[in-house]
Amino acid sequence: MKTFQLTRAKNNAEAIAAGTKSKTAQQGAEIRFIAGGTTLIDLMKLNVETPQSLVDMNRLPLDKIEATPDGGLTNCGEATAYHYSVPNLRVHFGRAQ
Amino acid sequence: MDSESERSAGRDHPSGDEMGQLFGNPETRRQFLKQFTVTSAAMALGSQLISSPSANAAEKTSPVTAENAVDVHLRVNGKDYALKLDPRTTLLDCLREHLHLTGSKKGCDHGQCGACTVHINGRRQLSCLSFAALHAGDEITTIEGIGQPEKMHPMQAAFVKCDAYQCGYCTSGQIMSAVALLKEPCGPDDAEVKEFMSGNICRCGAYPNIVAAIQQVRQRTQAG
Repeated sequence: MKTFQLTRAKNNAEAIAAGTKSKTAQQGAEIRFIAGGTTLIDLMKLNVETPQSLVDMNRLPLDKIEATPDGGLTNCGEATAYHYSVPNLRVHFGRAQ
Repeated sequence: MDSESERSAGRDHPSGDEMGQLFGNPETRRQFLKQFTVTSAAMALGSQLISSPSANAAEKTSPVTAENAVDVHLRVNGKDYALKLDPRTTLLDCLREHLHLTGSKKGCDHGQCGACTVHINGRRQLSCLSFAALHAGDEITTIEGIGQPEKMHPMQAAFVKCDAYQCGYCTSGQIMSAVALLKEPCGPDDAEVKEFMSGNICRCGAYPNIVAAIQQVRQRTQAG
């Protein structure tokens, strides 16, 4: 794995500001946001992703999954697999007990 | 009888030494291995002498001068640790190599097997797919913090009782997932338990016993 600078975003504005410094958000971006990391860390281990800077957004309030008025759901990027096992989500998709 | 057979062996068949050479009896094999070890040791020593001293020096000092090293304060099993880590250190490597909590296992190191499962703030997570530096201030629990041989968690006791393992490599991960499952919205039937445990692979195929162990603990906690 290539080494990187690890920073922690204190608020949304700081995270967005960090993101704008990157030339691209596509594969090979020099700055990457990390929340759960399930995909990103795996790809970094394989040297598919080689960010120079990693912005930790785990402390930002972006881990919510909320119902929208039209019956859908909004999903924030920071929500991890755990959030998908919460009861109201299972009710939403008719998988409740 | 013995001496006769020995003599006949000497006459009709190759001698003991020759047999050894042909079929590699233990003594000859041992001698060969001894020779081989000495030769390879000499070769290794030679390559060390050839390699430049500067390379060796860099290897020794690398932990101190790790690029982008970060100070991390971790709380694992109720104990606080202050560490200086390379940001690339996964939580699993940190637990095993730095804190010497080797109960969490490295199976695939790619988040596919679940052997490295730990609890972060009470939720199960794969420690191989997370950097240690991201977990400052989090409450991390490993299998060592779940229970010890003299004071086992009910889930650990149930795993022993139900024979829910064979080689045991995946077991700590299985137990971490099983303990977390108790607090998750998992339905009562076996199929639901299997679904919730699907992130943990057992190569020995102890699945029926694992499900039995989990169901046993769930029934007891419900009854009690």
